[in-house]
Amino acid sequence: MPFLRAVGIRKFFPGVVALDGVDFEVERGEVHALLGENGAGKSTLVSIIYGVYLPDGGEIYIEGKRVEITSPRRAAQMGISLISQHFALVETLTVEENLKLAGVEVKRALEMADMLGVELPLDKYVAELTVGERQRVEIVKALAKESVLFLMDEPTALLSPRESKALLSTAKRLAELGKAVVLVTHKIREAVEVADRITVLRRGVRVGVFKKPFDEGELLEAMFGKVIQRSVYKSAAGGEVIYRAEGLTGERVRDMSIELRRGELVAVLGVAGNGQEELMELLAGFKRPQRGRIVLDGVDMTGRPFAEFLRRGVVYLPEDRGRALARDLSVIDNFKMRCFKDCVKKLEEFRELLDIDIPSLSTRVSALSGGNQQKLLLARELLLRDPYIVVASYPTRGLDLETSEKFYAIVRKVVKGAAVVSLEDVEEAVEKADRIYVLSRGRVVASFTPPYDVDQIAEAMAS
Amino acid sequence: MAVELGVLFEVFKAATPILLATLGAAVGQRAGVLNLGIEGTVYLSAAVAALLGPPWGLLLAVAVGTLYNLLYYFLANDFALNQVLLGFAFTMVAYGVGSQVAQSRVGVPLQKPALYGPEAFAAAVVLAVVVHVLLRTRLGVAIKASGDDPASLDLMGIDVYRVRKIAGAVEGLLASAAGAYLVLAYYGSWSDQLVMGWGFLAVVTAMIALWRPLLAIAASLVPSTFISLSYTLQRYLQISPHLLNTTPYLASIAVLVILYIAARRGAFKTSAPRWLAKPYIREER
Amino acid sequence: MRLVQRREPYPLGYAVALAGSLATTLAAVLLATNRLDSALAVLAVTDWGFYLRVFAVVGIVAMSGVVSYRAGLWNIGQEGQAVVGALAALASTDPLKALLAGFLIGLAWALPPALLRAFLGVNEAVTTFLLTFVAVYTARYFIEGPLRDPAKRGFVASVEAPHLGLAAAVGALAVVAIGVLVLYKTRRGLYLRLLASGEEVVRYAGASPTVYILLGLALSGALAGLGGAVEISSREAGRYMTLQQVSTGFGLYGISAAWLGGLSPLGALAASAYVAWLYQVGVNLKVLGLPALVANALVGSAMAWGLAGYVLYKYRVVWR
Repeated sequence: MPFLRAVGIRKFFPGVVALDGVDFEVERGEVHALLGENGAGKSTLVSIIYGVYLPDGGEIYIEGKRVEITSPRRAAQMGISLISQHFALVETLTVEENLKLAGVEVKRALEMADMLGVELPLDKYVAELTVGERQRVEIVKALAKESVLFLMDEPTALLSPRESKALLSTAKRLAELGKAVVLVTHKIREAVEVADRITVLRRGVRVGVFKKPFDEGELLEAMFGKVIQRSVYKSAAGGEVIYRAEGLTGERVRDMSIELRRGELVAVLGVAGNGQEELMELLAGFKRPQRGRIVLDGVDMTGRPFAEFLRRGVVYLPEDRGRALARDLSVIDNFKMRCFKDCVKKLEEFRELLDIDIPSLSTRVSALSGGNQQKLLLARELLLRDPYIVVASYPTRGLDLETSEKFYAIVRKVVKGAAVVSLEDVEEAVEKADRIYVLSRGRVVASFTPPYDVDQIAEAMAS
Repeated sequence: MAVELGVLFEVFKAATPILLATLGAAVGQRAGVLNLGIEGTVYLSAAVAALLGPPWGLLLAVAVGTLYNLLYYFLANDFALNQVLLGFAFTMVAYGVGSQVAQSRVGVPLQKPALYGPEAFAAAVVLAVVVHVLLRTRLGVAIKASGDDPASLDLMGIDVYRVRKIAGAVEGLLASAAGAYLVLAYYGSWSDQLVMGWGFLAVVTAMIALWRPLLAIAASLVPSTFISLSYTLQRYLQISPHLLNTTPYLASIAVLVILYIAARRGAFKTSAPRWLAKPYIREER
Repeated sequence: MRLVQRREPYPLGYAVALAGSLATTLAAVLLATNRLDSALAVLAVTDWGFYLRVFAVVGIVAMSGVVSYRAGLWNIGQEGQAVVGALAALASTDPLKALLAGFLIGLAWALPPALLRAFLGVNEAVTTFLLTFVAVYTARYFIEGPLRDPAKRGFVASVEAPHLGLAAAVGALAVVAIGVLVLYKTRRGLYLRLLASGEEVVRYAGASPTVYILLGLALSGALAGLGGAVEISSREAGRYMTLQQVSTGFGLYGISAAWLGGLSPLGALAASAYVAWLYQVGVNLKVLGLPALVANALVGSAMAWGLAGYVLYKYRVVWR
């Protein structure tokens, strides 16, 4: 009998149907992957199982008994734990204090850490730990609380390739210990590598459940429905250098030098937490560097106000959309941030082009889904303005594949100068970029030009 | 010599209610709640204490004040009403209700409670130590977490709203003790304009004390010194008493500013509760 | 019980809030009077001139609140800014100068908190509110000192403010309301509203958050100061301050009206009409012997309802 069984789960958010009658089950001792592209509803389903969201329809059964999971507390009592990108760890407290809060005995935690083969840094403040380390603390915590069901939501998203492998083998180990593991991911390779069963979701609907041995082609089709050409762009080599950043130094970034040539799309790869966001802030002129220079078209722009960068056609797409979009204001107000004339007409135009789901122009931006917010941002910054240099931080994060492709198509078509994009997916970088820089500990440790060797790149990221 | 001792006596007398209210405000702010309604809690409990006098008045004052404060926490957290403005509203309502409740006692001299004067300050110091110990227990850590990162605390399965309400009850308890002390021991009789901002001073003093109960003991001496100074200085200097009355407020602002500047320079690890005055709503997208 | 975000904002949330406030007020009045006919007498508006005057003052201060809170800035020192505005009016020779002086002094009073917030990040709610107490004591100093009226024997009072006609007072409100409406249609007004979503958004838009923090708080203080000047100048009689009668409470009333009106200029106008009525009720209750601060309780609860209305506007309450 499966440990958990969810039947006919429905969930609505303002403007979108996240889940439309989804069935899902997982057994003890298995790793069951929940596969789907961004926006398919995987995270929503897991949030419902963990009691963060309440379903609008459907039932959940644990060991055959019908249950209502009304809060994370109830979920924990039922033996469910969540390892997500939002850690249930308070940064300002030590690991030991966090364990105490969670009601976990330190001795027991140490035992579990041993069983799992990982270390537990009790005295360190969580703020001092890396992402991988925090994850391990979370897993040990869950083990110590006698969790039976481990929900892992995109656990490798912020890990280096090497740490990802370690995480996946930990997932397998948990299953060996008799636990039920649900692995949420959008990466087919991961699912195939570690899962016993794979459930594929697409646009809030369950498309199918697959058993070993897995057929990647089958999974691809289930995920996307139609075949989307992942185009590989390569531009004509070697234009003039139009943008140069020399010796940029900030709080995390050290002595970074990057140059952009006309017509290029440059990718910056690196494990999260290595200073990517700060680098993008510095390159876009949104933040002043402590040291270093920025030269755009031969003009020294270092330290000039952001408004000047904007005037010269620099587009900055930040990781945190809350910087670029005023969540509490309406869609049209946000659009007017950059628009001076014919705003309503232009917005309608772009809405169609990018297929943005907006209930009405006066809807608050916070009511839009993450993906739609991103599309709105792209419409305003790329289509409305006349972009010369685009500096983008994880621009395709949270976007489904089709929109992702549209992004690259728009950038190639519309951007007159060059683009520098920070990415987390090596494959995406390999397909789209003319040049790849690898970032580690705030420095550029390697740069690559095509033809790319994925393994080489992955190694550089791990250094 | 007698003058100095007299001034010192005054300072400690004034420091007691400020320390009590500051401890309350510190606990509440640690939980991420900026409760400006604490002034109202102080006022209301003072009114109740004035109405009945010790000992029953004291108990009832504490009960009423704690419940009033708890109501605020319920509205500000569970219902996500704007914290700052709601506190303001609670203060205004308390002014209205309190002035009505104690109307019959205006100007009537009241019986002093068992503990007053410097002994009361000593008792308050003991309370400060108790609060300090409380903040190190699992509950105390949970309170700090609910002010720094309620989202994670929630994910951990601990009810953020419940933890904050406990903090609110502690805050209410301490604030109402301050109110009762203020009317019974410090002033000795009731008047409409009694509290006049002592609650708000506590809000600032909690910030100055970096939300640490032990530091609050010292921090509470800042406004109380200025309050007592204005009484004594009036006799010696030709400055208008009204202008002297502004000094506790200006001094508190000044100290706060100095702390902000020092924090910017990294003088100490910023221990400000990260979610101070931000509402936590569970299903927020 | 949970709060779930609404797809579209729900203006009826404010209707519910208004209903709630009305019910609370009626309950309070009935409690105080115990009889239906005296309750009705308390609830009636007896002097329309008085009512319109209060409406004008509350409205102007409400605009101060709207400007501040729509920008995400927490100016709660309107009471003090109004007091110094009134002081400025006392020191003026003609009504127009009084209004101008009130505006400028209110601006100046809000400037220290504005500077502290803009450059040091000091919480402006705390500083503006503490300055209210400073304002009251400062006013007392002036009443007893430089602005004292020697002609009034037997009690300490200030000189009188020049007389401002009722029409002019309402006219001032109209000018302010139109001004705010126009402001929000401009680019600057947009940036000011962007500030509520964070300083970074303002910077992203290419503007300086520091400038807008200063602008928002200064303008808010100026309007509150103007409100104080209008208040004292438009009194039919007794256009002076005494040591006991410094603060009028209109600061609070304005803030309440701003929230009850959903932080929109037109909504705040409507809410000001309501709050002015609450004030009238408070005055009538005072005549019956209840303490003066009772009006505060009524308006305070109205503000609480206004805050609840804002939540209902954005969220749906789900009981599960």
